[in-house]
Amino acid sequence: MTGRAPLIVVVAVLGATVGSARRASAAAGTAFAETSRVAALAGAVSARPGDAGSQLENPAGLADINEPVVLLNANAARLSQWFARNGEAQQDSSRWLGGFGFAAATPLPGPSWLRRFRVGMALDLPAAHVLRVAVSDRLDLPTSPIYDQRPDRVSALGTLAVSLLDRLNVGVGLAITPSLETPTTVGFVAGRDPSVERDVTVRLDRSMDLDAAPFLGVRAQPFDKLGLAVVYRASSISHATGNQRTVAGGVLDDDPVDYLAFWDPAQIVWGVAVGPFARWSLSLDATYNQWSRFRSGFDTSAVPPFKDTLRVSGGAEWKSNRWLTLRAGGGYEPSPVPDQYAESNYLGANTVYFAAGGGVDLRELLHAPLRVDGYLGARLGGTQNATKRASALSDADPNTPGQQIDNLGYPGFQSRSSLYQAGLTLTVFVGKEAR
Amino acid sequence: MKSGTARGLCATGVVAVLACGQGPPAPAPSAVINAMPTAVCAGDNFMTPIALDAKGSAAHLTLVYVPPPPGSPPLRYHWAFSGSATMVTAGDVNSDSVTVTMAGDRPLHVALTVSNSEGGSTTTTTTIDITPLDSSGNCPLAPVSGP
Repeated sequence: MTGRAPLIVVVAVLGATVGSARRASAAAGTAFAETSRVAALAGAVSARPGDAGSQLENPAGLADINEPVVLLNANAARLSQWFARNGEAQQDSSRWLGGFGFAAATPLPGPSWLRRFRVGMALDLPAAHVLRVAVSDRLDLPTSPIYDQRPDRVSALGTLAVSLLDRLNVGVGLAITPSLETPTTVGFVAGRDPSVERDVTVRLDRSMDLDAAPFLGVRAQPFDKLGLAVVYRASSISHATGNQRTVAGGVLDDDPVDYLAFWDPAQIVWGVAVGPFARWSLSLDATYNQWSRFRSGFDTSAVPPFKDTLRVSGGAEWKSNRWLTLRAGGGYEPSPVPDQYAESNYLGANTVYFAAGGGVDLRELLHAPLRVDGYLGARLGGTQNATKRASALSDADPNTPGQQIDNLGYPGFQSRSSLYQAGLTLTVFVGKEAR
Repeated sequence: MKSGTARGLCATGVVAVLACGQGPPAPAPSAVINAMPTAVCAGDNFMTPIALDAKGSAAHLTLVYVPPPPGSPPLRYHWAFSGSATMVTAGDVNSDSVTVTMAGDRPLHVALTVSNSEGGSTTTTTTIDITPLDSSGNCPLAPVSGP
């Protein structure tokens, strides 16, 4: 059980990391920003004892920590992505991703009932942008709802976990997602400048609001070598709202703007973990993703609608000795993107992913309160094929006889995406672990 | 299709950029495409000349086109095409106007990049649509005379 341990005052810093295409299983919620242990086990950690880096995967796992910890995380990834209309050359949209993460967690001190509680926080910060929302003026722009903007946002979360019973933990948390408020006013002040163009005035107001998405989880250990878990995570959506107001003499044009960034769907996770048996432990997670609620940037339903998916992942961990742990994991993630025969050109195909990594516990090796974990991983997507149906496309110019087709994906296209990741996580054990 | 959009295909709002030492960007020119015609029939097979004109572009963003002062540095143009196969029949891809024909099996996506002498550049796009033949196998579009 936990002995006395000082509370840690944590100054929120750092942020996002780039993580896997599935629900931002990051330290705090940014896509592809997992900590090394979580990534090496392919995210199948909900039923395993948790740590500060898996608060989003299952906040109940936080109740398993016995001393204050601080976790520093860094990720890098290479996204390989291309799009090609039938018979044309590939358009390459590959890019590098990366970021940093910070997490901390501690048991609460005090009387025994209070020591059953743990609190934690995490912050993810992309290496390039705090928040990036790209607003397109075309509804048919080839877009990946998985890879395009999800890695480019800061995220943060706070968690509270409690050991209700010796073998039952419950946790709740709140994930913070930023949104933009961008009212813009364009006016005209005659005579302000000899040049008529300089008589135009533009006022830009910007603010970043925060939306909160709750998540909660339960982890039970009915037997010494069997863990079970259920987790729920609400969807995560940002809005860029405001209005474009243009005033020119007696002319007023008031145009409201509400652009929506659908980061992650609501999810339910079921997990099971067994072991250790001869130093091996195995875990399996099944995640239901409610992608059918997906909305486009212009807050319209996708046509055809996205599909709910069930992702399956598994992980294995082997403790070779007291200071070295090896991990490996893999999974299969169906694509939520339906057949793109209509106006939209969403990119996505079924994906398999696998990872391997390990950790060195320097407490056992060098009597230093540190643990270093690392991983390498790959997400390999299949090739997407789409064929447009002219009858499902809108008329680009109703004023011209006949149907005008201008779709960027016509007459059909292929695409493929893969992500190669690496990460390093440093865990600092701040207090004395109660043995 | 929209034309003369100074920002090109996407307008990106970046709240914060973690970068140091970047000065203000070079003033951007205004890029404007005028296309005639804006649609051809499916299966055109390089029959219909399509005139693409960038003469409405300007050295800076402007609400109203103003002819450049005499002696001002010329703008630089570059046309790029994707989608339907094309043939340049008049002008060239680095001039302010060019005439092309297209196969007509799919839309032709045209990108115009205009650069000014201050280092600024703007890309705008337009699309030459295709019109499927009607049930009688005829083209619904009215005949278009050449440029």
